[in-house]
Amino acid sequence: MNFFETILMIIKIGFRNIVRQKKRSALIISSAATGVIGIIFTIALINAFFIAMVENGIKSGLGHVQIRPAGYEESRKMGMLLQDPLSIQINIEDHKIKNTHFSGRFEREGILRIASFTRGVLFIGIEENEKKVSHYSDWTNEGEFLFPEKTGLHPGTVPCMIGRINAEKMEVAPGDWAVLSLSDQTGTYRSVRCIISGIFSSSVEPIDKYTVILTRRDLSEFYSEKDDLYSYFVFLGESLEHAEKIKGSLQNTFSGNSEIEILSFSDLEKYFSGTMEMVDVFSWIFYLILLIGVALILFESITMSVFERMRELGIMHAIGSRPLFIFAMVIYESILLTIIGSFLGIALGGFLILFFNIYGLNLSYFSEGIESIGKLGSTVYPFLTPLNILEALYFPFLISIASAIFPALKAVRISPVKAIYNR
Amino acid sequence: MLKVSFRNIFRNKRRTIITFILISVGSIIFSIFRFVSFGVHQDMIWHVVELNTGFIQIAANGWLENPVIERAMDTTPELIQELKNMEKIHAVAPRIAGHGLISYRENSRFISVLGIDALQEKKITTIHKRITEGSYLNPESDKHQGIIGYKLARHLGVSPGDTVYIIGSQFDGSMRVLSVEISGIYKAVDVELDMSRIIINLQAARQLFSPDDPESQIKRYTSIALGVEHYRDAEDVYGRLSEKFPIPELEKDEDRENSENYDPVALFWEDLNPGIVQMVILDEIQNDLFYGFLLIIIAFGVLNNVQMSIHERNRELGILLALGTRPRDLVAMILLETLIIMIPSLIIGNAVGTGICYYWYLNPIVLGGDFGQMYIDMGFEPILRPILDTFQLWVSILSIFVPSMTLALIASRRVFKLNPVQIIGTL
Amino acid sequence: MNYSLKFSGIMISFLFFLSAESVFSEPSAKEIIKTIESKMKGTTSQGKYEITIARSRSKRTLLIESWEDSNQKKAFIKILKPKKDKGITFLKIDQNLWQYFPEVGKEIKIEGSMLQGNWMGSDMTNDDLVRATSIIDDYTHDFVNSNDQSLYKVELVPKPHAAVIWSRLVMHVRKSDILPVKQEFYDHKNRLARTMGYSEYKNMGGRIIPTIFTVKTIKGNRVISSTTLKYITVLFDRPISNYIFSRANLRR
Repeated sequence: MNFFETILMIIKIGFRNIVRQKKRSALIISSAATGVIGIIFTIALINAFFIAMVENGIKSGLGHVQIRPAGYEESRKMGMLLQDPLSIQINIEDHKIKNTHFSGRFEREGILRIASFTRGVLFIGIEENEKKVSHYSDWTNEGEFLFPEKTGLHPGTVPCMIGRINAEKMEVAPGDWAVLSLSDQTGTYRSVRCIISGIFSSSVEPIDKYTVILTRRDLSEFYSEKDDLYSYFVFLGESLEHAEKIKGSLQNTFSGNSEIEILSFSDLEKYFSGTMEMVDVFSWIFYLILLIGVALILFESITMSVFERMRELGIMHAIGSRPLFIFAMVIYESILLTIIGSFLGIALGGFLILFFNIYGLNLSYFSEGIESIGKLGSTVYPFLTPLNILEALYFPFLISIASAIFPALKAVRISPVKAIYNR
Repeated sequence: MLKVSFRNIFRNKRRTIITFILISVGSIIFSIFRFVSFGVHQDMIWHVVELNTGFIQIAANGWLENPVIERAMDTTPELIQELKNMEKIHAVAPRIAGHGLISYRENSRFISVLGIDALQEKKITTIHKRITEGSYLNPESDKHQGIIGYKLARHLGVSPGDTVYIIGSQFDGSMRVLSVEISGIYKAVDVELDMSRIIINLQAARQLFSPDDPESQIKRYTSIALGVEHYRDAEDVYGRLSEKFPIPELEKDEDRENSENYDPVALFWEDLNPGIVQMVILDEIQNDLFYGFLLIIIAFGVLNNVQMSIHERNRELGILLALGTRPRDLVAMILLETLIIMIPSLIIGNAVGTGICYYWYLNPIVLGGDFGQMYIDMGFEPILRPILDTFQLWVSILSIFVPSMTLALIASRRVFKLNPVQIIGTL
Repeated sequence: MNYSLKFSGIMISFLFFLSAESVFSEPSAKEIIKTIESKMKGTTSQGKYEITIARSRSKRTLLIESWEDSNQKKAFIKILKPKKDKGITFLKIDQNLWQYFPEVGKEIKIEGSMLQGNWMGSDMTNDDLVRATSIIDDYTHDFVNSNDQSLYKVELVPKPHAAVIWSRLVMHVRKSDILPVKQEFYDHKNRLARTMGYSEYKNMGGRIIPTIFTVKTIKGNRVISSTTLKYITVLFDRPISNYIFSRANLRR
């Protein structure tokens, strides 16, 4: 028999063997499936947490990269202004980076009031491109986003957006008004009526409570009578990895400009890389342990199956089957069963994950107030990357081979006489 | 029967050994994980509790929801004495807390102001151990003294010996400015404490906030921190205090934060540190998921063991049934076999896990690099260590034992379905 | 938290005295409000006032001395009693506020979120103090039906651009002498949130004016706190030296 026919034979016999030993095969398949479900669900959940933290951070304003006034990273002082923002903007537009959007912002601290409600908040002045760099427009679930800009507002009033928590406490809806106050550039206390154009729900409590969104122009004029003030620019690329590239490219564009700093998401949120590491380490440990469990079961089952077929294997020896053939057959069976189990696991687990991906896994069932952690909303969306799925197949595959080696060797060493006789 | 069972398990050495290994290794992993996770959580909890809030506080109804000076509670000497006399409470430290503006030269910042009894607090919180420059508040001194976090000190440009001003809003609404000498600077490794707090002595806080009732001369404090030795004691004391100071019912349309009722209530560290609680819960959810799957795998292993052992002995069991053995007895025998494997492996596995954790407990791992930095930024010490705890041990043992034995029970009921005639017929 | 307070400034601010001719024609709602303003304030005013602030668990009484120049939008207040607050001074120029604490010799500018709360724990908001809005210019005025035939009832609705936290005000005014009796402040859900009562009409400083003003904050149909201002002495329209309205004066 040539090579290919041999392989074919292994495949056929192996397949038939596993069909014959239904119970055992079922066990292996189900334990592999369970192990795989466990692995991928845990990974999916960890992915979800991670992304929730990161996404919330990024999309609630941090972006992937920011251009800030020099000294911001160290001092984190609120109220720093960009010098010469228009030339920065021209520069950015001249050196456009692929698949990247940017928008300018101006921020001030101030007070939000209506009747006896009063709260210190952060006013964030945004521009039209904000839609492309953050989630505020998506989070708007009542009324309308600030852009496209509305006409027909009474002169002297400005449109604004407030968070749902505030809207409920203040008992206001889009169309109602509130009073915004701050100390302007000269230190004078000023107030303006703002018409609530939309209400946003960020699912991150501090954002809902302490943020009021205006157009950058309005806020700038409110503060200084001029409409050209900027606190910083935000950039959003395609992914976190892209962030570093964006940062590099901007650093090139602005090399020699000592009045600004280019900061990436990880510069701005220092705990970020630490979290990534921690998540990595823990998921590896989880994997490993689940795999060991599966490996043990596999080992036992394959061994049992070899034992049960002692006579048969003995006969195969006796009729002259090559040891390698037998060895390969046992290994193949193990692989086949594990792969079936893995696919099953991926299918079932994947289905579960898909379900939660669409409908969201609401953590508040487990605990109230989880929103107040800050960077994490209360609903997370588990997901898997293709890499995750590959890993979930690859490692069981490896252990299926590893666990089968010993029994396969045993199978090869069976002396035909003893085998036939012993039954 | 014991003898028979015993002999039976050795009939298939391989499978027995594998199951044994599966359960013991599973137990080792389980117990280590539970102890480590418990330890890490306890460390996180302990860190904030010992640094800031203590395990239990007594405060006025509504203060937790609205921690302003106007919600300070009337504190009679009898109340203090009653608390001092309570079992398992070894320290009673009244506090006056509020908010204010701290200013030094041109720099100012809104911060929280905590007035403490310097002597009593040392028995409850450990901020005095974290002084990096200068010294802790001097209980003997009658001057207004304060300590601030290193980040705030840097922001304001303050060193020990400098005098800062605190502007605060008093109990009756009027404003007051206090000059306070900074006696020391601390490093709490907690974002809020290091950047937005000043800790002053009680007499300074009393002068700044004037919470006492001028007519009846009753003293008022925003909360009273209580010192207990251990977490378990804290639970016990909190239970007793909640009964003694029940939470008042809300009137119609009243929200607690503006309630007219200022009766004292008991607050547990969980109420005082909701952020930590959420973090711990989140972590526990993730862990539970993992445990669940591990358990399933172990239970599968046991299930397999039982099923196979029945299957292999089909003939034997059939004969026994034919001879008149009650199926019940056979089930008992099979379960006994499973137990004989399970109990030693659980014991050994958990013992090894405990042993490893004990060593680890004495030699905690210090985290370095970005990982460690993250811990520090979040406000925790960068160490990882397990804490041994009987409850966790029981959880570890029972969570493997119960599901596995249950599955074994279910599987062994197959015996009832065995038809002796059929089996013997195939002989 | 701290503002310079001009208590006659709690009242509506005035632009000019209503001339005698209008007595013969039925005044418009807006004219009534203007009359009130001019009757209660002068181009300048100065005097001593007693303020009692009653909150849920505290009550205190201040004695203050104050000067105001409404044309130049300046005011100066000095606290005379109680002892713990004695010597604290406030200066307001336009919409800027400074406060001085003699105990530590420190002067601060009140800015930003410090303006969030009420003045000195009273029922006056910072808006009342800084008087960022004008009761004449920022509102439209209309008569509404009054149950009491001796009173006019005027409804004031903020104009569409006015940065006012109330959704409407109602003034009850004595027909006999066009002096206010009560002012009601309604929130955006049309609930009564604050009332200002005027009483003790006397001749002071050459005018007949209410000399006691009571502001009550109402929440959920209950009065949760009240502030009462009582004129002890007051003089109107005297010239006031510019030095009074200076930062240096804070420390004197």
